[in-house]
Amino acid sequence: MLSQLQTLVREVDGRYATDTELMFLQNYLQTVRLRFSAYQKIQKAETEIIQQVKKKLKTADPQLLRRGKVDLSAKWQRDTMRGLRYCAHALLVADEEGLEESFLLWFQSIMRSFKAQYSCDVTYKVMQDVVGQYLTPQEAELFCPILAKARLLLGQ
Amino acid sequence: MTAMIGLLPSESETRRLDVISVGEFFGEINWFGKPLSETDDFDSPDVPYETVGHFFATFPWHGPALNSAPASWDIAEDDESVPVETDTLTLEDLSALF
Amino acid sequence: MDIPSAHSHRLRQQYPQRHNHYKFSDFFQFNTSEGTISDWNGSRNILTSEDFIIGLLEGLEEEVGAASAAVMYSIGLEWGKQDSLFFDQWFEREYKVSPQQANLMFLLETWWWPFTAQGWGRWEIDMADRTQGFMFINLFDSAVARTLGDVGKPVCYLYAGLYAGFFTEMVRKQLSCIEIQCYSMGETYCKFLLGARERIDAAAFWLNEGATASDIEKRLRSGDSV
Repeated sequence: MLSQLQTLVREVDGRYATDTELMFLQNYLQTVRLRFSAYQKIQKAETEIIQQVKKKLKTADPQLLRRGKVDLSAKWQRDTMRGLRYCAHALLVADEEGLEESFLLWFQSIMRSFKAQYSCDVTYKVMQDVVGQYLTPQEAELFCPILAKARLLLGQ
Repeated sequence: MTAMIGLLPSESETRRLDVISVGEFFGEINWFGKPLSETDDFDSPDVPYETVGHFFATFPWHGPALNSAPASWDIAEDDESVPVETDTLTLEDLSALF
Repeated sequence: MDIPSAHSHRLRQQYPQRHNHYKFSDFFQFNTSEGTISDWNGSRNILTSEDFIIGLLEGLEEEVGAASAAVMYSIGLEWGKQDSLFFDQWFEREYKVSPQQANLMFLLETWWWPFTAQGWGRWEIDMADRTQGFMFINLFDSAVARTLGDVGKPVCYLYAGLYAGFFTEMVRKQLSCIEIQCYSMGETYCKFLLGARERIDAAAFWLNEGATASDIEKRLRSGDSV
């Protein structure tokens, strides 16, 4: 929505927008309540969500957040918190494109540098399951595709 | 057009509504605040608020309510440079190869 | 080149830890009152169109003919060298660690991001053959190649020089670089070979003989020399 709004502002220059051009706003408004409530729930449960994801990752594969003797959990936690917040923001303003441009594409290159694609893939897969415990099905339906996009880009 | 009462349109319903005008849409979400019928079931979480303004008023826009640490861009100790592990290449390693 | 000063970038001043700052509206700052554009790292920028690239290349060809490739390479070489000095400063400022101590891939990706933000294209480094003393750089959306289109010959001499200049400074060894595959020859991306001079001269020779990029890769991997 946000990126589309910027485009709209540029394109209408000096005239009124047509109904077709405003359709994206309409779509946004139809889901905005879900977005707001999901956003607040994620914000409130952030710590728990991340702890649960970490727990599940470590249970499934104790070596996933380790590189030899080095424990990368703290870094994983910071990165995952940031990722979750950016995804939540994208949910709020319905802007997946902005999420890619401002975060995911850059972070993808960083994760590749550290060969962390696999842990990202698993992280965002598990996160989709975990957030389902905190959101209604309709809210999850809006948020999980965003997490899936993060998983796709960061897990490559 | 009467205000739409009941569930917010789902994704599939939204597609069917694509042909309505913006004016009709705002009527549907009760933007202008027509009073809802007394027989409505207000216990259902899907019942729309009386007005959009009412909906937004339920948010702590100006209050500290849900504010934990501000979700700022600065996540403390943001450190991209992980300590160099033994199997990681550095410039020196690269140089030695040429 | 301007002495880098990141003090004037407002977003950077506000969020100095925001390492993901390469979105167009974040990376560049438009100083309307002065009529200048600065970037996150404090460098001055100008916006140009494809006409600039065409003008530069065609103008050179008119002046020096076939030597224009060598001139573009030399320009790139100097650019890469200067940029490595600039990079040394801003990398350390950004991440509080010297380039020598950083994870190599992370260092290189970080170097290239401003170029991506500026429209020079995205890249991919292939270090699989580094133990044999060479590496490949794949470039997607070369500004030069896309501008010129399919002209049947490699055109990214500026990039080849840039990589040679930069990597030479960073590894403190004389390296050369040659483009072995180009968008302007109908390929989907451009491929560069980086290595010591003799290696690159050998590849240039094979290219002249009509070798393809994969021929060259095979020969290098099997240890062929001139």
